[in-house]
Amino acid sequence: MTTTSTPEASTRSRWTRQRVLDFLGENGFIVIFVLWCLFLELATQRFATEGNIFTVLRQAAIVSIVAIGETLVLLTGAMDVSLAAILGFSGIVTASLMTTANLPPWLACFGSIGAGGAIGLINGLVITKIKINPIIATLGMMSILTGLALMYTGGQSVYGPALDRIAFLSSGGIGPVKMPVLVMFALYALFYWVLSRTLFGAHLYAVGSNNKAAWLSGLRVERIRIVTFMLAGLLAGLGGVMQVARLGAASPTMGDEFLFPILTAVILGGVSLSGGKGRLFNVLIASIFLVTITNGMVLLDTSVNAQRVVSGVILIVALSLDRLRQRER
Amino acid sequence: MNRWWIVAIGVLMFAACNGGTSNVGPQPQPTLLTDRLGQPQDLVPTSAEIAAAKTALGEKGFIGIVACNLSSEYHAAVPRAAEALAKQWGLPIQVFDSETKADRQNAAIETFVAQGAKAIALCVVDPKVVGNAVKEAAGKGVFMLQYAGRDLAVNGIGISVEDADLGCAAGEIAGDLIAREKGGQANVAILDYPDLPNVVVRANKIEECLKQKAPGAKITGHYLGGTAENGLKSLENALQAHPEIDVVASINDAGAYGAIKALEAAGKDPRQTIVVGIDAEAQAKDLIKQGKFFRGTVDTSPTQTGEMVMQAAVKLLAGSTAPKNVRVPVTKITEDSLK
Repeated sequence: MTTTSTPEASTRSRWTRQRVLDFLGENGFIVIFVLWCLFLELATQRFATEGNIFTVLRQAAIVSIVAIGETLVLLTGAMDVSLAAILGFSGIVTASLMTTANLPPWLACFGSIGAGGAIGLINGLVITKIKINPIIATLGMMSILTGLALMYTGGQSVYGPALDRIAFLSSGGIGPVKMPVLVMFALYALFYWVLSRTLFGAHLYAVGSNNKAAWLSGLRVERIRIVTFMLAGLLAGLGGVMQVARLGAASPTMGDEFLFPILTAVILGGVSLSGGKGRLFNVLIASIFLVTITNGMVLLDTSVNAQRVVSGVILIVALSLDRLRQRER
Repeated sequence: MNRWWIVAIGVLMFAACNGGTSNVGPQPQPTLLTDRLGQPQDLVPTSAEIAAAKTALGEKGFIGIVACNLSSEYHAAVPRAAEALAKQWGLPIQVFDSETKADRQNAAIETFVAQGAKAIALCVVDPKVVGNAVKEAAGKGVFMLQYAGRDLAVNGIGISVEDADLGCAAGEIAGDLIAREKGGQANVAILDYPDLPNVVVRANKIEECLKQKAPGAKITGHYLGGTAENGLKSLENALQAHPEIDVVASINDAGAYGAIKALEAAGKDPRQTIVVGIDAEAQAKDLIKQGKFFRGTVDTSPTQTGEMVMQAAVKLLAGSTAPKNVRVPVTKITEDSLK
């Protein structure tokens, strides 16, 4: 017996397939994220507890905050690889100002965030005025900052009881929702508004989509880029302050561990490396997704090495869905 | 005529340079004893040996140190101590930061050899990656010392605390405390760092020696440590899976600091929860004195190691007799020992 399909059925099938592909393409890693969470809850019965959810959010907070800055920079068609180093450097500045210079916490924190902003400003000026490739310029900045931190500390951690005064930035909060999580959501709300409701946000996308067209239409492209790098620096500076509050100490290479997660979160979140495209909300989900991978593997009692294998597989599968969409289009 | 003058001056200059080199004479070869494991005092040089080492280095020679990194207290302290001693003795020294990247070490060794290093002290990140570069340098007559390990001291002296000794000492501190304060019963998380083969030995030895002292202790698992951030995240996650964890044994102090933050956040009793590390960093000692969470660490003697590196280099350059392998003693640090 043979079956024959009508042209109508064939068109409907193609349409359905396209819809599924579109959906997976747009939300591919979110689908994998949801499936992963469901699997973890079914397999461990411990994943969806209140304690674990807030642990995951707290672990994602600092990476996701700095990832906002990286998203802004990427949207303009550039890239900043120094943000993790800025985080580490401002952490050292915070700890030193509080323990050695005995400055009040608020002054030390604002000083460190300001230092982050100043470094971002230098990055922006070097890239726009001297016309150095953003990756090369920020790579150089990364090396400078790490070297300075190592020179200043001699490779030793900066710590002391004075740092307890900013512990509330990590352990304070409203009920189970700790301060880093509150700050994370507040900043995402703020920058969502900036990107979707303000002229600056529209200009950012315009510069990233077509730099020349943006310039021809009268946008001050260089200024927009400088401001973007400065904002990214400020956010990385804030990340450094929050990391010191979380650890109660600062080490000169503290930022090293953030470089890969920040870039992965932004790329997994679908922000285009060529600029002009990307959703902030997806970057937040991607940051949380990355944390759930490690968290889930520990809940599953797998070995450290197996965790790396599974992390790699999940990331490749999630990114493959995005490529699938691009190929179909 | 002028041309002949220039040639003559050139010949005289060449002879002068050669004469300078020939004054140094052939490099004296040391005798390395392999019949026993040496002690620190075996490496202490005489002033005649220091003078001989200076002569062996000549005008352009130097001692190179390829550090594993300069970002952790231990690894920064070793070259710092070596540099201080070299300065005191008037010996030229150069330090390279490998940033814990094995591939950077190959380039560092080759560069040092090309620049005239007569002895290179190496902290090996991965022996498989750096093995050929070490053999090549040794083949060119450069003395290759190794610290924080021994297998690649090809034409030189190995100066090391044993990772097994370190791990065992930490395991014993934790095991003794469990036996004494918890009736031999505890749930132990081990903070590991499996990227480095020698640290895996350390972590396994922690478990083995802890179990010898406290056979009733249960190991909940090995988790990623090595840095404060890793220790914090791993313990936060591990406590979700095993809220009963009441002992953490870490392959270094940095991971232990993060673990303490996670234990504090989980509301664990600081007097009933035991954390043990390795490295005896200043911060660790401060925390041990406070008697909360952090109860012990193991002194890896980085300053003594750095001094021994320089002493060994002098012995080699002077052509003296010295043990092929020297053990750096480890010391258990607890609240009692700090009083």
